[in-house]
Amino acid sequence: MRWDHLWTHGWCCNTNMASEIEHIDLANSNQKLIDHLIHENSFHDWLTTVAFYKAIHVVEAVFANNSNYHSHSHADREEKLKRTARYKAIFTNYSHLLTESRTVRYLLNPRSRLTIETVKSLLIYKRLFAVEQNSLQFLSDRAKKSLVKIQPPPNLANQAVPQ
Amino acid sequence: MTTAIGFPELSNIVEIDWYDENDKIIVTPRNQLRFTIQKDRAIEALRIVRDSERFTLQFELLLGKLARWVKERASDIQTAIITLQDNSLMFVVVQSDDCYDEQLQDDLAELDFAIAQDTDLDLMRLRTVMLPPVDSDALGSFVDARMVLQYQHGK
Repeated sequence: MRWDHLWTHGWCCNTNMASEIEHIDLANSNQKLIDHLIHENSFHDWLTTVAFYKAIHVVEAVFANNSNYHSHSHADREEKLKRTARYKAIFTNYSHLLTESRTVRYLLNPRSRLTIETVKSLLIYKRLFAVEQNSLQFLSDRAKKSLVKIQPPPNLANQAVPQ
Repeated sequence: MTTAIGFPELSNIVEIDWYDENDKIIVTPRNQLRFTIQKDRAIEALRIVRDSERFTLQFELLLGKLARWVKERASDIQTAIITLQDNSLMFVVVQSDDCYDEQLQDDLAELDFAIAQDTDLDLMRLRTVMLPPVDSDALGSFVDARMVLQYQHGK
């Protein structure tokens, strides 16, 4: 599986830090799985988790392009986002994905908390969409063009992007 | 330059200049058990003491800030705890309601960001987490038993 291969060999092991474009490629791999799970209309917990990992790669692409910085942990990434004033909107929206992915991964029986419909409307089409939209200004032209972006359905397409 | 420092009180200012390389400092404490220390190590030790005092002050400031935040949202919060995680402080907020509270998460992110940007709290490393209502076993996996400070509503 290409996603797994790139994750373990290109980023996680620190042997060869991923570039901005490599992070965008990883984000796009996650987007394929998001599309598949949305199509299946099930596995809301996995949809939440994959959305969070797509956000991670979008944020890491931002860091790679702006400061050649690579996070070594979730805490490291949060710290970098919070200490940089211009990343406030990214951090706020990212925090929703972080919180809910942690809930579905570490707490028993979280299924009653969010339905597949609320995961789609709240986490994918609102918060992940906002992470992407607020990140675009910090990406290179090539990365902006390469990133496969969330496409909200028509009834949500005109909502304001949360700042 | 060789400088003698009497502990614990200093009656006047003793300057220790980092640029005087290879100097050692002779310290004569109150019990007269005199010892010598490399100057660089003495400077580092003094810096740690100063930062420790600053840390205590900042920690108290942070606790007050978090307590006010919880108090303003008392009806939405079942409990709130300060604990440790991965060499950081962790602020765990447990919701009262089972439904995902989007506004509370927005507020928590706002607080988290403001603390990180606050120059008066520059020594604080804080992470935040919002949880649904959980039992004590589940909460235990987010809490480090070495430090658990739990907010009591109204206090």
